[in-house]
Amino acid sequence: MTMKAIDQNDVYIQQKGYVVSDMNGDKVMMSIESGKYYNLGQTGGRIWELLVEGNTIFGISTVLSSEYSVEQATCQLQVEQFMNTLLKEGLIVSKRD
Amino acid sequence: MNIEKKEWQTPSLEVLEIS
Repeated sequence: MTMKAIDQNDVYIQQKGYVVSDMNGDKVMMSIESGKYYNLGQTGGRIWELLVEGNTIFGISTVLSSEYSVEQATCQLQVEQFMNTLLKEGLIVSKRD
Repeated sequence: MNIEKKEWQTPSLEVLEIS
């Protein structure tokens, strides 16, 4: 079985069904179904917010590089790696699915 | 107008099994 990887051209959106909260600036969430607790941290929390209505890696990194002191290329690479983790955990889905 | 940018932290996901 091949694991899905993030596609740079795809639009991704939050998977529904998670209890989400802010804790000392970190975004934390819990899945009753899978019995898992997630801490996305501050930057991850901001990425999560940008996935509410669907977004691409490029779209997210463009917003983040305007808000944070980071180069767009570096930001895009790290956002892609992070979103790959979210996808594997089932926290986000492609709008094409 | 200069908007001060926040410090960048590499995003990471911490996972804990509730069970």
